[in-house]
Amino acid sequence: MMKTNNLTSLVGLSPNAVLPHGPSKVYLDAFLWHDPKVGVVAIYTAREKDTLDHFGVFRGADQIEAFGQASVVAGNAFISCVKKEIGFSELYEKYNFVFMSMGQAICKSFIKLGDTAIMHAHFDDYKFRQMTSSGKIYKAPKEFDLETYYKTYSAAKFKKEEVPTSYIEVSEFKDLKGRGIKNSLI
Amino acid sequence: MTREEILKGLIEILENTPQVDSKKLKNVTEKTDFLTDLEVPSTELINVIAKAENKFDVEFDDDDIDDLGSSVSGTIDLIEAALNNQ
Repeated sequence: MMKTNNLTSLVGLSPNAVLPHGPSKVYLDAFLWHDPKVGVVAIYTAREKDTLDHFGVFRGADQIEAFGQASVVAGNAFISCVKKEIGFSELYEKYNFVFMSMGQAICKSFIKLGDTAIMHAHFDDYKFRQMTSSGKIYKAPKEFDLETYYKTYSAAKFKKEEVPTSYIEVSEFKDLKGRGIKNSLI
Repeated sequence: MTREEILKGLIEILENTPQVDSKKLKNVTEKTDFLTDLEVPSTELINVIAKAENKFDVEFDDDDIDDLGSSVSGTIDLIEAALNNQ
């Protein structure tokens, strides 16, 4: 079978091309750091549509969706693409990546209109297209250059949850599970 | 290895799976269903299969698990096929 991908990392890929979701349901703007065996850092800036009718705040449920899109969908699908040596669109012809369960969700601060959610999603476990992920969402001062910061980020820092002191912890999620299943099962 | 021996091995795995009520393991047969009869959480099924890989010293591919339902017999088929392919 011809290899149709040369995937090495999610960084630099457009979330719209990586995720099976349609544009109105994509809650990721970019992948800033990624180690397929360790985890992913992704960001999303809350827009008007995300805070409408919700007192200017990005909902906790949407934060979970964004976190899940980064981890048990994008991070998970990436592994299958590399294993099968195919691209995302080809993968989604046969599979979709669905939520299965959620452990704990702890909300500590807020993502407001214009704030950027910085998702640190650890890949706790992966077996047979089922992934478990835990991690945190942060926000940073507007002027903080996220792209430059994560260019030199490392798995060692990520595992220790080493982040700038200016980061504010917004939420923490534990044991979020998702699995790639055949579209015929949906 | 006979199917009976594979079944016995699976029961041992279930006995060591905290989320499974050991009282439900009294009369597990090939007709038993992990989800409906034993109430194994669906997220835990994957771990049962992964433990089966270790126990029976076989290896499954992601695709092998795609069509695996939640019946004990289906899992025995999977293990038996992997053993036969060795």
